[in-house]
Amino acid sequence: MPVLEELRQAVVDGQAKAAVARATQGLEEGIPAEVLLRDGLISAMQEVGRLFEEGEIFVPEMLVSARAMNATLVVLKPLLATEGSEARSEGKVVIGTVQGDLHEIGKNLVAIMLEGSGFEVVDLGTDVSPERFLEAAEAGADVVAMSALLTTTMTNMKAVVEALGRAGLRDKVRIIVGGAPITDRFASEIGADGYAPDASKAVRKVRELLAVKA
Amino acid sequence: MSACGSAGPRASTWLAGPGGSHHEAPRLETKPVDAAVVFRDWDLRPNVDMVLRALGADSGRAGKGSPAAVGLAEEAVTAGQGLLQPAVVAASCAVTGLRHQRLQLEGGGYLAGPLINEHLYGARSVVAAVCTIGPALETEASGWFARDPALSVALDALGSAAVDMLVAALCQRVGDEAVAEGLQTTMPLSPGLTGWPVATGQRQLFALVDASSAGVTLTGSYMMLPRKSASLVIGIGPQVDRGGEPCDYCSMAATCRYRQRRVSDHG
Ligand code: B12
Ligand code: SF4
Repeated sequence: MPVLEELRQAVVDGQAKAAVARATQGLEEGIPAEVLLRDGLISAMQEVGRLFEEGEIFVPEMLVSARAMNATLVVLKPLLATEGSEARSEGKVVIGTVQGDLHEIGKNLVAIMLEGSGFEVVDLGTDVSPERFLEAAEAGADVVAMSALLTTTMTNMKAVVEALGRAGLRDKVRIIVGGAPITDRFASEIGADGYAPDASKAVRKVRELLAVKA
Repeated sequence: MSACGSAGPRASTWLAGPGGSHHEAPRLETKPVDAAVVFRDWDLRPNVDMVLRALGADSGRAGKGSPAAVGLAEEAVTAGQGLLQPAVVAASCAVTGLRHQRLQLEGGGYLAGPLINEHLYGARSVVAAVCTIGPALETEASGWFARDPALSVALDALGSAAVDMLVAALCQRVGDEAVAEGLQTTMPLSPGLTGWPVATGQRQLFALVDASSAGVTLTGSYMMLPRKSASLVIGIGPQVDRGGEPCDYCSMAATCRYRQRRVSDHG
């Protein structure tokens, strides 16, 4: 198997050590870091997303794949910088759990998958006020992503949509929402652009929204 | 401040109420009613399989996940087990009547909502409880996010599995003690299930137990801290409705990945 394919497979299997070894071998064979990143790592994460959506693998497998990818990135990153081809971002996503809500794991998973798919992610953490979402969006974001886990806190998403509207950012920034109690219907009721039920569909939705915007 | 009697470690003390068990006088602890009793004697040992299920792995495949995924769950069990600090604060409240769709409780507290009506109409007493595994595990899980996001998520899942075990152990304990007294228990009812919204349910429940004695507080948006906490009531009586299970009363029942896997059925 060519080394690039082996790297891809190691990431899909969540084998961090093997992935790092294959990436190192690839570099030794003269494959540019950018190619290893694009055709090895990002392509593997796309496959992981597909397998997840088809019910072939579950969150634990997704996590170990992301872990293998991160371990490999440690090796590739310095070279990407010197090659002058710092991983080109697919877009910038500002993500956070809304005010009043301290749940983070769902939001974290979405951030992991977005990052693994080549997006630049600015993680604002939990209990994020509309003002902080606004500030981060004004600093330059393509997408604002909000998470909430309780029916008592999901209502705070609307305030963020409104704040972005008042600041005149609604045409520039796409808004996506998610979390256990959120539905498509709720998303449109509050004026968000999209909703996704899990981390891998979140990546697809963000891509979709940015394609429409482009 | 808890308005009911403290649920004590002995069988009879779960069973407060006028006529609590066998129509006797309320059996309450001799302590003042606002002295909540905290139980810390729980031996929780979530295993790799439970962590994988809490991470949403398919129940049929849990434990048979990819070698790397199983390895991750093992790491979480090893790193997290020592951080579990299980505590349950419970109060046993005698039912004084059912009026205007409200289950009135001794001490002035009440429980109300369609779910309560449906399940607690025959109860002589209720045990109201708040369960937590404490803040240590979730702090550790958050701390790992920047360094190793996968382990962070797996530790979080270990926490969810542990809360589930704790709730199940409490239900078992209350159930066993009720049976020993010739009584029955209802399924556990938690704020957030259909017919008992989080905000109203948590307000009612936190008025009955002094959750702070187990280190649990309620935020302005009715979220419990530590996050890995759960709240519930169980009805007790000679003939209560024993049917159903929490998943039957959950808005997510149709799509939930955790259903039937005994992971976080909130009861
Ligand atoms: C495990 C669990 C618990 C555990 C752990 C809680 C925790 N989160 O740490 C325990 C047992 C402690 C618990 C307790 C409670 N829970 Co609970 N819990 C769950 C359960 C089963 C899974 C949540 C979870 O961790 N999932 C794993 C993570 C990774 O998934 P996630 O957060 O949903 O994120 C994914 C998606 O939602 C999406 N996503 C998330 N954010 C975003 C953002 C964007 C932009 C996008 C696109 C996508 C996206 O992608 C993520 C990854 O795939 C859900 C039901 C469910 N099936 O989801 C109920 C659920 C969240 N709980 C619920 C309730 C009610 C409670 C309690 C109030 C019950 C009680 N009275 O005790 C308490 C509250 C706890 C507190 N601290 O206040 C409700 C909340 C809705 C409501 N009624 O308000 C739910 C939805 C179940 C239900 N319908 O009743 N719970
Ligand atoms: S396991 Fe799923 S369906 Fe069952 S009560 Fe919990 S969230 Fe609802």
